[in-house]
Amino acid sequence: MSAIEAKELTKHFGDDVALDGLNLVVEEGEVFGFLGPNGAGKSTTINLLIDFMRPTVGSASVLGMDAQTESEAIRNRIGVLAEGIDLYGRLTGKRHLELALKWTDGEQTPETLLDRVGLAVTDAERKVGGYSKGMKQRLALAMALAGDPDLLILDEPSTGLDPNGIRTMRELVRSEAAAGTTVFFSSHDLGQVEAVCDRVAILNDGNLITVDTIDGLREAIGARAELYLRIPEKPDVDLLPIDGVSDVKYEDGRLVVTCADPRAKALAIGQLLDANVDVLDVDASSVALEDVFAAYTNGEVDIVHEEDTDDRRGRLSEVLG
Amino acid sequence: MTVTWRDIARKDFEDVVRSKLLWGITVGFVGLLVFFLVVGYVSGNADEASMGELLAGMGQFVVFFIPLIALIAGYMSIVGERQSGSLRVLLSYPFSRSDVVTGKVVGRSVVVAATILFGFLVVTILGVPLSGDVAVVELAQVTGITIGLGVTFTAIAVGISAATSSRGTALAWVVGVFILLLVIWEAVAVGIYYVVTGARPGLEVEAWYFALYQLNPLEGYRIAVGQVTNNYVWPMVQLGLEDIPFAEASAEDLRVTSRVDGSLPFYLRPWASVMVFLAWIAVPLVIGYRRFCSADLE
Repeated sequence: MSAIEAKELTKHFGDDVALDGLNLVVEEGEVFGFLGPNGAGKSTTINLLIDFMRPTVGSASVLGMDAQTESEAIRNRIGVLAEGIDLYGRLTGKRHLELALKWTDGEQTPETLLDRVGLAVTDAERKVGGYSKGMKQRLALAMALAGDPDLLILDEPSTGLDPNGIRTMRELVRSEAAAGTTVFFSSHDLGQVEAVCDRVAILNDGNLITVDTIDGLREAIGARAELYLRIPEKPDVDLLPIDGVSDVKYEDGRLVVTCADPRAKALAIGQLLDANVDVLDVDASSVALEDVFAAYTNGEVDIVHEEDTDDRRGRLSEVLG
Repeated sequence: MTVTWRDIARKDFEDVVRSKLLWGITVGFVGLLVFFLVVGYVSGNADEASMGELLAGMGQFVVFFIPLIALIAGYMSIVGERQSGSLRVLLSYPFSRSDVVTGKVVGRSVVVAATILFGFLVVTILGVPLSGDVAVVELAQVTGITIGLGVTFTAIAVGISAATSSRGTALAWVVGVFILLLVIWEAVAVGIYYVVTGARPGLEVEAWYFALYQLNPLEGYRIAVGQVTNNYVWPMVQLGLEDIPFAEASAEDLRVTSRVDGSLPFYLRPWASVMVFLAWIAVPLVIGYRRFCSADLE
């Protein structure tokens, strides 16, 4: 039995096609990334899986049950962190967890859940109305963990989280996966998905572009990573012999190292330092999500130069770093 | 154990009793009742007033304030959560959408009923010494009918809240329904009477004319409380479209029992008002539920 199965899942809003014939299988026990820019249809898919919305055409099943007719039984066994949520401002954080545990017959204590998402007990005694966005997101994540679900559906879980919170969330996903929980994780951020997922589906404009393993994704996006090093004079070091370095150029005080394998970048920097080259600054190109789509549709990845773009959406400096 | 509407009702009650707005209106309502009783006492009228007269006098304010409280308590119940996004959290647990509607209407009804009970407790504490009249049966009956009125308007508000997808739309509907029932209904009833008979209704009038009023829960409340207390409950708003010399007519003349020839037909008895309440509870809830059930929650 698969954890999630979508068959020709389609959703129209008037003339607008939000999701167009999605076919997808998520196996039990895997961490599955659902990657795409805002408006790609990720949230729509999740809304269809948990019966917040009804499909125009097609069907979906979750844990072997029909998403529409058996939704209550499904929601009894899954934990959801939906997008665009709000909590009850007049109730305390702890009360939220008590309710979530009651509704899911959870055996954990609110304190355990607080600890797992890194919320302080003193904060949990306060009313949620005074929480920051990040604290609300942590609390909602803790609520999703109540009742030890078999499947976690997380829609853009890093929304509102600071880097610390993002790390906590990643660790949480890893430990849940290690405990056998299937995790379905949507994000517009390549780095997030790359860091925790086993497999990834890429969605754009309501269409599924590909389903690939993380290794496959790395290969596609790492194909032409560039490293920019500000060095006063052309260094007397040959970097080409490094495995994974495909080209080296020096112009205007800048050394551009093109790498087929992102891991080669660190080796290149290491070798320069070993040769006592004075490296003033290091910068790397990042691949935009749009270029990943191109990689899969045209079989090539284009590189967006750091200085060429103002749009930071969907960047993935981390993948290349 | 699986979750039920009771879980939502409890959560909702817990949440709503912390609402400052609701407390504000409740204090306003009870304060007005106290003011009304004290003024009556100071002006000396209450000395001779029976409990029935006090209750009938209160009825005029109740007809305005209880629906107001209930509509305010209810109109945001579902659409508010839907717009803020907390409904998406609630429905990620194994609740059905009918659990949400049922839980909300019960939770908010309990809040409204508690407000009414509190108000009537104050009336009893102040009214009994004022009137020297311990009319337990009358008090209990009027309290019961008032709770019926409160629950009816809570259900109307929750039904509207379930049926709409934005706060603004829900508010527009609630205000519209309230104005229709409070202000415009008289014009509708008189208009229908005029179309049928070719004349405006006079002081003495056919019983079916009042059946038109009975269909309105506010008027049903006035008719029922008038009979229970054996008094006339003045309307909160009167357009004066009827062909009645209002300056000369006494409260006694204006009572339904006085204006209808002979004994009152069954459809003007207090229990008919209760049936009207039930209909006004059921219809908005069914419409709201059906729309809510088929809605996409974004």
